[in-house]
Amino acid sequence: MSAPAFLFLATLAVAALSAWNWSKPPRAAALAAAGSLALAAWALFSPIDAPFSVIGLAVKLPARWSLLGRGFVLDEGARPMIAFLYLATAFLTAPSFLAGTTRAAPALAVMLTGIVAASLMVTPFVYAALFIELAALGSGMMLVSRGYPSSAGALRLLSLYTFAMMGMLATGWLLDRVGVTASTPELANVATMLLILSFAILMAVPPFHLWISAAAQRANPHSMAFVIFILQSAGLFFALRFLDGFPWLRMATLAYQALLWTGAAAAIAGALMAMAAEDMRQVGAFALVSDAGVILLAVGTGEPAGYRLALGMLAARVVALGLLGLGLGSLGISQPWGSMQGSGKTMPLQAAAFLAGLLSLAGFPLSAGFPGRWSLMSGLHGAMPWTSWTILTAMTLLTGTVISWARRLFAVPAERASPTRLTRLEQLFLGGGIFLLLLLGIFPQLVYPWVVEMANGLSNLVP
Amino acid sequence: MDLWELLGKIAPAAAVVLSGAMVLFERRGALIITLSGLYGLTSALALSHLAFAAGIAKVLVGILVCGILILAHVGGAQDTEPGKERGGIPQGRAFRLVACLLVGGAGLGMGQTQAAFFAEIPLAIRQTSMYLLVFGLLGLGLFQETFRHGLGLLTMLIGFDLAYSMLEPSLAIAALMATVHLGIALALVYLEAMEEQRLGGETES
Repeated sequence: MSAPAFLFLATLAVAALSAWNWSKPPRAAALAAAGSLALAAWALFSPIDAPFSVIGLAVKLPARWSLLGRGFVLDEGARPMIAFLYLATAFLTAPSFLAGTTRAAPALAVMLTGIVAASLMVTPFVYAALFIELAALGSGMMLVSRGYPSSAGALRLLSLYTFAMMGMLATGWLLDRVGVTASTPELANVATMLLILSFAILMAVPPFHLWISAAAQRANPHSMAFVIFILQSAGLFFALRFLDGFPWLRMATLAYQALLWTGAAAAIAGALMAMAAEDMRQVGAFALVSDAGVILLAVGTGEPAGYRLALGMLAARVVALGLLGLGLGSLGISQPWGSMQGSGKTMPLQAAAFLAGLLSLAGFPLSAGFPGRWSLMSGLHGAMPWTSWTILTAMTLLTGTVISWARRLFAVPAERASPTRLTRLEQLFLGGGIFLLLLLGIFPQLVYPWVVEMANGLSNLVP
Repeated sequence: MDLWELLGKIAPAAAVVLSGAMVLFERRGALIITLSGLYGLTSALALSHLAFAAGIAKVLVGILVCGILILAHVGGAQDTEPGKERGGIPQGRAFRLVACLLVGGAGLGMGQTQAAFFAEIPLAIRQTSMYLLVFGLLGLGLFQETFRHGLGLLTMLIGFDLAYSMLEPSLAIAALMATVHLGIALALVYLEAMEEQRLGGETES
C-alpha cells in the first residue's frame, strides 16, 4: 500500500469511528481529535519510501499512488502542510461538542481535511481545484443542519467555489498546454487575471465574501470557523504552489501587485464591515475577511520572508478561530443581538473567549495575531510604506470594534438575569484557549519556527 | 452527412432550446427531464469526440444526477411558486424570455470567438458549452431558490465539463468531474430538504 492510500484509508477510518459514536458527542469529538493528531504525527514523521519494521514485518510505503493515469504523491514538500492541516483539525474538533455543533461535525471535519490533503498530493497539482471544490461541497453540508437549516450561505459557497474551480482549471490548462510564458504577454495577462480572480474567491476577498456574511448569521459559529479555516488554508496552499510551480508567474509584477491591492482592500473592507456589523457572528466573520487580507498582503510581497509570515499567520489564526467559534457557540446566540447585551456579566468566560479571539484576528499586541503583523509591517515599511499603514489601519479599526463590543457585553446591564454555570471541561477549553492565545503572542518563537517548515516544500519560493 | 456530423450541426441550437427551457420551465418534473436532455446532448457530443469510456462516464453521470433529483422529487420535494418576485429580481415568464434572448445573443457572440486558446475545442462543442455556461449563469443570477439555483449551477458545470473534456480527456479527470456533478446534486437535495424543514417550521409557528 502506498503512503497516500494509507492516509486516505486512515482518514476514512477515523471519520467512521467518530461517526459511529455520534450519539455521544464528547466521545465523537475526542476520537476525531485524537485520530487527526495521530495522522498529523504520521504525516510528519513516518518513513516514506524507506523500509521499516512493524511487529517484525518489513514494510515500505511508496510515496506515489497511481490512479487512472494520474497520481497522488506524499512528498517532502506536502508532508508539513498536511501535518499542519490535521493538527489544526485536531485542535478545532476537540471542543466542538461544547459549541453545539451537529453530531456528525467532527467526522465531517476529518473527511474535509482528508479531501484538502488530497488536493495537496494530487499530480499535476492543478487538479487540486477539483478537490477544493469537493471540500466546498462538504463544507456546504457542514454549515447546514437541522439546527441551522438556512441554505443561503452554503448555496453561495457552492456557486463561488464552482467558479473558482473553473477558473483554476482553465488557468492550469493555459499554462500547461498553451505554453504561457513571459514572452506571451497577452496570454500571460489572461492567465494571471483568471488566477487572481480564482484566488480572490478562495480567500473570500470582498465581494466574494458573500457566502461568509450569509452563513455567519445562520450557521453554527464553530462549524463556520472550521469551514473558513479549511477552505482558506486550501486556497492559500494552492496559491503558493501555483507561484512555486511557474517561474514566469513569480516574475509577473501584475500578479504580485494584484495580490497586494486585493489584500489591502480585503483588510480594510473587512475591518470596516466588522465595525458596522450589528451581529456578533458577523463581526467575527468580517474580522476573518480582514485577517485573510493581511495574509494576502504577506504573499503579495513576493519575498521568502513574506511567504513564511503568511504561513505563520495562517497557523496563528487557528487558535483565534477556535476560540472565536467556541466563544460564540457557547454563548448560544440564536436570537438577534439585542438579547445578548450585557451577557458578559452572566457568561464572562464565553464573552472573554469571543473577545480574545477577535483581538487576535485584529492583531492586537500580546495576542497570537500580533507577531506576524508586526514582522510584516516592519519588513514592508521601507519598501512599501502604504502596506504597513494599511495593516495598521485595519488593526486599529478592529481593535476599536473589539472595545465597542466589550463595552456592550460587559458594561451594559444584562438582559438575561441568570448566570450560566460552566462545566470544568468548558472552563478548561475556554480558559486554556485564552491562555494559548496570549502565550503565542508573547512567545511566538514557540510556534513560528515549526510552522515556517511548511514553506520548505516550496523550494522555488523559499530557496 | 453522418450522424455525428448532424449532431455537430444541431447541438448548439439544441443547447439553446434546452438550457433556455431550464430558465423558462417552472414544474420540477419538466426541469429534471430538460436537465436529462442536456446530459444526453453533451454525452452524445462527448462520445463523438472522445474515447468511448470518457463519453460513457458522462452518460452515467447524467443518469445518476437525474436519478438523485427524481428520487428527491418522488420523496416529496415541492415545486416553488412560479412567477413570484424574489430578492428584488423580477421572475415573470416574459422577463425570463427577454433575458434568455439577450443571453442567447451573448452566447452566440462568445461562441464565435477565434481566440487562439479555444482553437483546440471543435466549433460545435465550443458553441454548445458557451450557451450552457451563459444560460447557467443566467439561472444563477435569476433564481434564489435552492433547487433552481442549483440547476443553474449544474447547467454551467455541464457546459464547462464538455469544453474541458476536449482539452483534458483523461479518465481520471472525467471521474473527478463526475464526483463534482454528483456532489452538487447530493448537496442540492440535502440543502433543499433542510430549507423545506425550516420553511415548514416557520409556517407552523
